Amino acid sequence: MKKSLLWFIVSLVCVSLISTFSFIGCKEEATSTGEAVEEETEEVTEEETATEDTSAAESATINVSVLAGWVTTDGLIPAIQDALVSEGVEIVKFEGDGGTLQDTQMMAGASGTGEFDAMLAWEALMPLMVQYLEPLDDYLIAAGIDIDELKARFYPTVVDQITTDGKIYWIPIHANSQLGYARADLFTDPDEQAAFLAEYGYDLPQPNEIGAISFKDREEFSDVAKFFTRDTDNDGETDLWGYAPAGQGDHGECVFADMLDRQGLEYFDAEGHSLWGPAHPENQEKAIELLTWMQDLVQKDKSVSPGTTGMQMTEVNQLYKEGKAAMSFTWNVDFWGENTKPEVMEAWGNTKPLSWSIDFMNTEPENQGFMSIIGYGLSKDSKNKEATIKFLLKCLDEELRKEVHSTVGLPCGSGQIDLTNWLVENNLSPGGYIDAITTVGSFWPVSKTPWTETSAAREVTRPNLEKLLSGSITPEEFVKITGDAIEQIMKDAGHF
Amino acid sequence: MERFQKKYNIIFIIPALIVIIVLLIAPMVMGIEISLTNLDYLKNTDSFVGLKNYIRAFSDKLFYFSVIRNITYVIIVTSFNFIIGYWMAIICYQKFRLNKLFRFIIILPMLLIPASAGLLWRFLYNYDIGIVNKALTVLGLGRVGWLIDPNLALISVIITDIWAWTPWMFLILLAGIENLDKHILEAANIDGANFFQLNKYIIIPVTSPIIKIAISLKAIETFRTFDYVWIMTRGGPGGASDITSTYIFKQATSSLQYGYSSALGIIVMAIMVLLTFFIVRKWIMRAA
Repeated sequence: MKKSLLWFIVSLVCVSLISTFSFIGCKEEATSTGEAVEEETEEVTEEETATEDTSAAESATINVSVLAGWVTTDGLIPAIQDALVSEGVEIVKFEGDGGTLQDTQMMAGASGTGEFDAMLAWEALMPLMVQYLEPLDDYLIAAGIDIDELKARFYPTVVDQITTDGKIYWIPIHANSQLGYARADLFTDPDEQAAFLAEYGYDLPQPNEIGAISFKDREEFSDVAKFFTRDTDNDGETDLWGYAPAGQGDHGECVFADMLDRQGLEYFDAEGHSLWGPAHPENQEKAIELLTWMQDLVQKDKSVSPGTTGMQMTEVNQLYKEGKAAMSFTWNVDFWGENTKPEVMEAWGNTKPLSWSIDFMNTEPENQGFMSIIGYGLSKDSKNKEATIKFLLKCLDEELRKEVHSTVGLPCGSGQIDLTNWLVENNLSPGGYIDAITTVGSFWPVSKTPWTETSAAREVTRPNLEKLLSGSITPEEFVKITGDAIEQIMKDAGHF
Repeated sequence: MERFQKKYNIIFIIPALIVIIVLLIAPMVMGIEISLTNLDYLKNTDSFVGLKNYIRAFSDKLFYFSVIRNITYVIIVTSFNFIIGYWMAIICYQKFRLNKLFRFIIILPMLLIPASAGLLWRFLYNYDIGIVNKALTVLGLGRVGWLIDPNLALISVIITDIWAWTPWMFLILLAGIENLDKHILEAANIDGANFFQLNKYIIIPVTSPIIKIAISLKAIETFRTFDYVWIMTRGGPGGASDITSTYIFKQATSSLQYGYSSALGIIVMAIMVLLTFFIVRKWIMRAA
């Protein structure tokens, strides 16, 4: 009995030790854990004293949230860490997927724990998290930065998103826009051009000097998509689709929302009513017209694969890489680095993809699409604000960005105008990226007003869009179902 | 001695009790607490609403459908896991060359983590570039919308689950079959029993305790499936493959209705507890 008891105690101690070390091992440390933790715990909780303590001479550790496995933070954070070593700042990464980061950061913000020094957010999350952040203007001015000059470096719509009530809350590290790719070997082939002219009576659109194609309107785009849809090996199955958009889930909804924005429609009006719901019957025809066009591409023209409802951006790009799509549309900028590798370009005659923006969808010149933007903000509960500001300043550093783009291959710019031009000039981004990013007006995926119910509204759209593209529901049914549901969501939220 | 042993029994139980309270009871109690509120990060609400969330759940058609799909999923997956696993175990019980290699190949799918398996099959099923449709095209059968056809999406995920977890059933059943008394089988052979009679009258009855435990554990585990559905279809197309786990997840993460999703989770947990109670009491304890 005594022997059993002894073994039991020994095993309990072993399990406890293993659990403790595993827990400690889970947290990634830039340098030795002991010193950093000791210095951090020595800093008192009062803000002023914490700021005084983290001088350049002492090291400070900051907790920064990063999206797990995302190339931008995977490339950028180590580069910033290297740059900040001499300034005594150590970065501890908190990695998580979107859902985890959203929940953890919001809970930390709501409870004021100061767990994060630099918080990461994307466009949908930014308005929800502003309440947990401190404005950056005073810090930037103290660092010698002219606020107006800083704002002028960014595209105007980027500035709209990163500011609230005129104050800067976010430093963007990633600004992406949906973009089309097109197979250069098909578009620039003289035989293809002659055949298109013979069939349609006008010239096949051609790329400009930076490899960007412009379509005149939707009809021209549909003609080109139909022209390139073929059964190349005569087995009765289409092997080359004229157009391949993402149709599933979040990425599918992004295609729809971008097109919707360019019709002059967003999800909500200024009071929060669904812009194609019961409160706005006058907009329903416009929405139905767009949806009919999208459905016809799949069901009538058959220039889009029915497999689109099962594809997100990775599958769309894979289809394109295998040469089975003449044109693709999704968050294509993410794949530029991959698609310009020689071994990948073999599928389409060893030429870089051409690119095209969706601005031909704009029914009015002032209508614009939407952009995805991700940035860092300073947590108002941070105990290392000075060190965090140093981190944020490095996020703004264009030369550091250029270096990381050249070596690691970050997919997108940060919304800075000069940086974007440099990326295109140096073949690190497709030519169409400039068109795409300058014709966006809304970062908030569905409306210029940052409604917190956006995610819920998009969750209504996603499954119904899949049903629409597969032909299970009509555009009229889509408008009715989603319009009513979104209106109800906003009503339940107490907006009217 | 007995009194001494009884005294020390409590000491042995306390650590386990602490673990159960901290890791099981406490989160459950918090979950029940949240389910009685209208915690919603969109509406910024967090007040006690009693059983309102439960009443709403019982009138939620989409939740009902997700439960029905979940039960269907469990029945089909577990049945096929057993049928295929059993026959593979019978085959591997025989002596033949490369038996060990065959066993190794059978268990390979089980070594993939569910997320990887889901991703793999998502690409295999791709309408345009997936190997499955390429093979069907070569055979002249044409492409199938495995993950895009609402009538086929859940079945496609079920096939993946069966592929991934039949090896587990195979291992359990093989262990049971290999522990059979060989004399019984030899005696039956001498008496002229054929292959099917051997299985029906000897192998299955004798290994039934293990079979019941394996099926019970698989059914309970399968009811909690999330990975395959989420990775492969996200519950689509159009919600056609939504099961309880994905539906509850969407309520929490997209709609940010934590109070309601907690209530759904408690209801599912109650179903699981009833199911487990029935299985453990009627099957496993009797089998033991």
